[in-house]
Amino acid sequence: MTIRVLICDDSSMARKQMARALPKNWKADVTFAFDGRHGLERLKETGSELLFLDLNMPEMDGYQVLKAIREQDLPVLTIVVSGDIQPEARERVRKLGAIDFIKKPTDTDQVARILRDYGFLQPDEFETGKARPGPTPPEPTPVSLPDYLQEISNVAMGRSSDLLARLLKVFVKQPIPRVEMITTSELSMAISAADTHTRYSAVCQGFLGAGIAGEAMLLFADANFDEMAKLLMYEEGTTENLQVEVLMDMSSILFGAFINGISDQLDIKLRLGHPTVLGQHRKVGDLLDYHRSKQEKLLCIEIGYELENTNISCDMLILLTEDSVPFLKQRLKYLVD
Amino acid sequence: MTIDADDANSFHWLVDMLESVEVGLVVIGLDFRVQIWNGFMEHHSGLSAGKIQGRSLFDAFPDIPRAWLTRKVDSVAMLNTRAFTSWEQRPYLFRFRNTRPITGTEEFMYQNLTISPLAGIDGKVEKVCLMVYDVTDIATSKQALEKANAQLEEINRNGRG
Repeated sequence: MTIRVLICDDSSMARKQMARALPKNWKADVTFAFDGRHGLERLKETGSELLFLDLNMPEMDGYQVLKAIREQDLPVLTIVVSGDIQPEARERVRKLGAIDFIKKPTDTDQVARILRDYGFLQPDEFETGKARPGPTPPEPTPVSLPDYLQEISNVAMGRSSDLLARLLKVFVKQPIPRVEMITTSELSMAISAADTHTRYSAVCQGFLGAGIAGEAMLLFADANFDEMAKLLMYEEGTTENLQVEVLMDMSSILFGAFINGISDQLDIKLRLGHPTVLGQHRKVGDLLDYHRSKQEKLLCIEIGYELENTNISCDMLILLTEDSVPFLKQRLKYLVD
Repeated sequence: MTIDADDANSFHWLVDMLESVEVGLVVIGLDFRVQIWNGFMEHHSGLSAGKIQGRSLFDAFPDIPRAWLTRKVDSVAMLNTRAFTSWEQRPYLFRFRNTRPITGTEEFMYQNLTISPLAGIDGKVEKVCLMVYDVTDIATSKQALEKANAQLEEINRNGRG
């Protein structure tokens, strides 16, 4: 008997990875959806029995899809596939009715184990450790570099959020990473969250390895500092010291976990330098303006972190130099094919 | 870096290198007892490795901010990730004299600090390494620059008034 399966993820790379992770001999009819709303439509059209659902998606996110499935009483079993590894995320999707949780990047053995545990796999179909052969997924869109970077950023972001959540005992909302090619002069404009009135402080930290070079940057609005210092339970020190302290601690955690996450997925070694305070209490334009001596193209990944039930948000930028792009493309080719 | 574990000679020069590198290297257990104390630390503190080994860092240096360092080390051990601190948040962890006691403008050495987790074979963090960088030159020139900027602003303002 063939089972109808729907894979719902906004990233074409993630859809591809998920389809590949399905057991080789499994008799399944796989269809795809590219965001939450599309996923719900396809679900009703195809009458899929099993749904692999991403959480961070535009239009409707995974949480909203789970709610809709429950409200409309759709006869589908949902397995969440996400880079968000905060224990709280797992708890929330279970409460919303997901039967299990698979952490990205998808592990073939784990998928097979879950499918067997829930009885989707017959014993004769059970064969782990082998990828599904090429022709099965009817995935039309090829994976582009921005899409691929968005997906690995998504997974890396999940790791930094997990650390932050553990340290601060809060839930970190997972945004969708924005990836775009910009020029250095557009840098301040590229920061979508930044407005001209707010004053910011910033830390940056260079990283390097395997032909890839760039900088990680954390922008923190001044208005956030007091609340953040309270969350971190800092008591001693003057206000000025505390603010640098907050910036350094946040960047150590977010950058460290994020860069490690990227390194692991690309299977390369990236080394972070010592962080530098770029400036304090300045407008975003001024913070970045001063460093803009030569024109260059940059690959910019922007992630806006938000801490739930607080007013705290901060902007993380990962900027990659133009000459890193060929190396990234090479890795992409290696990982996707 | 790859080293041949069987080669006693390479181990010898490796230790020699760690001894002479211009960076302070301190390995402490999670109880803050000192396990490794390199040449940089010996020279600047005047305490030999033999004297400080096995002692608590806080006993040997009572002016180290205990709560602050404990919090940093705990989060490094818990999250298994490096932490960085800058002279801007805390000028130094160890109060050492300026390396240039005559031509230097500051009394003490400004320091950046990296706290790095060291895991055992089972992957559990058992110790941390403190790396102490001398950034006195950077700190003094940045402060001099800021001072000059403030003076310029002052002159500007008076000129206009």
